[in-house]
Amino acid sequence: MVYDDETKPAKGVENVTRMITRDKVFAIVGPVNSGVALAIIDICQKMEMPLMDTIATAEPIIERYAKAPKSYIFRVSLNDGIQTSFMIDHIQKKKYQRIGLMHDSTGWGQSGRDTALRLLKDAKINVVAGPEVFDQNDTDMTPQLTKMKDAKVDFIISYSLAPAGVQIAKSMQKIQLGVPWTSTWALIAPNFLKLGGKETVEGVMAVTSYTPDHSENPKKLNAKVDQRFKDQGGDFHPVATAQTYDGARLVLRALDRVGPDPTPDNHEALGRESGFLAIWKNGKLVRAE
Amino acid sequence: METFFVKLWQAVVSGLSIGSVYALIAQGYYVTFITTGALNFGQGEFLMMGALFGLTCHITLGLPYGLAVAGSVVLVGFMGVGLDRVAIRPVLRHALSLSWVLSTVAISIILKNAAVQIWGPEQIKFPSPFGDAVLRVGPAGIFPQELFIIVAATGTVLLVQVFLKRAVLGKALTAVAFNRNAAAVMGINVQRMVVLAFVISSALAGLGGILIAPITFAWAYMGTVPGIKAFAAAIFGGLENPIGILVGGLVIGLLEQLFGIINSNLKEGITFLVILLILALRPTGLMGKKEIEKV
Repeated sequence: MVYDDETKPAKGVENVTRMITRDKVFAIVGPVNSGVALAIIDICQKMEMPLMDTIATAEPIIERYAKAPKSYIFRVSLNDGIQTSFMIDHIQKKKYQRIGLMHDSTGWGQSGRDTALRLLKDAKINVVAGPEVFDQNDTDMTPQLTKMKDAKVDFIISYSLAPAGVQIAKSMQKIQLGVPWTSTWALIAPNFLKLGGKETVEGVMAVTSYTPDHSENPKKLNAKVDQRFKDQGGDFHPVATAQTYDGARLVLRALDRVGPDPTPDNHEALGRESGFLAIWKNGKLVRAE
Repeated sequence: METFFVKLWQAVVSGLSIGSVYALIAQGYYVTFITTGALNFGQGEFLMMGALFGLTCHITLGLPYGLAVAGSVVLVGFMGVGLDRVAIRPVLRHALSLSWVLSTVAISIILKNAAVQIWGPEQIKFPSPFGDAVLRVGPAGIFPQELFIIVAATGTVLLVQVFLKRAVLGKALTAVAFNRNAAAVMGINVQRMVVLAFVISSALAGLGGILIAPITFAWAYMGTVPGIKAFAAAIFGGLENPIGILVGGLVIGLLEQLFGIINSNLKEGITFLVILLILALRPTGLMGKKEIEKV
């Protein structure tokens, strides 16, 4: 059963309720958006329905039921804490002093803001501008970015999805703000490149668990998978695809071993060793140095 | 102080661009309101159809931008005929009937659903025919498409006014708006003028869609917010005053950007608070006629 929640929490709740009550599924893999995830984990926990989160990154997704006698929520995604820690590593390595923080107004953006503020404070890094908020469908981010420019930021962390990310990059061109900036892996999405174009996304950073290998054999495999997705009318998102594959395999193996009522202690299957900061260069995502 | 003026100027430039689109869509509300007393609450979705149909013409079929614009305007204009037949005429038999509110909202929901089926739920890039290089207007930056939007949208608004005041067909429409029965006695086909009003209204929305698509991306949900903001512009400016509506649209676009400089969390809240205050002082809108109440 495949349902699209269109990143709307209400639709996610509707889909999950249908999967549990009507389709009688034995486990759920997904969703993509943290706002949706935060809205559906309560139902999954209450109905004892195993949920494998493969892409959504908000920390409370796992934390909310971590202390419950039995938690039905699992993840193979890199949560926001881990993702933000790569940004902080980069800030410390490059000795950036003045950080600007932005986020969208979704559940994901707000939880990301809290995570970033906590980790930046722990690392004793100053946030000199923000947190500034924007709607995920806003088309002009010049007011927020002008404040960043006034505060003379030298690096911006922005929790923004691909469409808003493109608008940020464009608004930065408008006000001639040329500082490096990063989001989580929301900006490794193929849609980011497609909506923005090569020039617009150049130099934008994002966290990822891997970048496609552009040498001969992997390239062929990549093209094959890409074509398979296109044939079905979709976009090939490398990280999302790989992790959802992993997540689904884990669910199936767990079911083989323990049946549909899981009680394992390990709920998190991707750690700090699995990710790094990448940068858009010439339309390709490569490891940031 | 200097940086403050730079910020202000950037907000003005950005605000005028989005505001002129609100004004363009809001003119559509005006045209149908004066002729029938009804509004199309699906203006936003007509805008979306204009953008997505234009996208199919321009990108998928490879037609030149100008032709795609014309195609969109004509198609969405024709949708106005359908709207009148399906959602307005059947429910507007009684003068006090408000069913058109529901029937136009119903059409908008159906269109949104259909668009998701045809074009998918994701944003699609609509490349601007004028390129992506930022132009500098003083210290502010603006995309050529935004400049084109300001010129095309305000130009169209003024053109519609010339049409209503000078062209025979436009005068007939104005006559129906002024006095339906007298116009009918004078030999004007009122029903046909109502259809014309919905065609103009829809075509304006379609044009708005293909104009803003390079800025907002083209997608099934792109029309909802502009539709509401344009409605606010129409009421705020004065629903029966086209120049008031133009001003109303520009003011709302400007206010949003200006309050964005102060506090981005509250920009929409403060904008609508200001609108509420002005409506409390002037219930018929910024430039609406003062109603004389006889006791």
